[in-house]
Amino acid sequence: MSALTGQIGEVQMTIQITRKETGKVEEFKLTGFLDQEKLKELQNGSNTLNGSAERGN
Amino acid sequence: MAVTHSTAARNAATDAVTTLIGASGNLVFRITGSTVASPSAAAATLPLSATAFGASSSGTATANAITSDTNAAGNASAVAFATLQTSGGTVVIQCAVAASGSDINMTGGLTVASGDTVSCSSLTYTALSA
Repeated sequence: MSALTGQIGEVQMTIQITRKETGKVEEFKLTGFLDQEKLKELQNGSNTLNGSAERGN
Repeated sequence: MAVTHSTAARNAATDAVTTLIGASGNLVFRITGSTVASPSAAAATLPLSATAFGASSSGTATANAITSDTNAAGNASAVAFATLQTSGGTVVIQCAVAASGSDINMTGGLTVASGDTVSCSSLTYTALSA
């Protein structure tokens, strides 16, 4: 299998949570990465296909 | 070497994915441990419009109106994933989410309590980067 990977997609959203107990509204901007492994790759600069513990390298 | 796609190709890729959601899908916020094959517990479920997304423009599709979850299931664990799924529960898009809060301490992560109302005022999806 090739270790090359393509560019990944992205999800952007803005959500509001109204707390039941206080009525306070909190707003969040969320950025979604398609999966956590991809996120780790981006953060670590490594390729999980080569760096996983299962492969031992 | 970076791979560059034409705008038409990016639109086609984005539309192909959003079409898979089909009619009356859901946006679901989930706690840690979620996989596409085995989604984790839902903290909030927000129904998408019958046509979930508009046609992609410049590679990005914008969701049509999303209905709020006015009585969220909630969970003590922080939200870690968002899934876009079909009405039958098949996950089409799953992403790990990171949040920047406007007015609360985010050290403990984004949590949703039982009975909270969760709304989504904007949602975009981009399949391929420019």
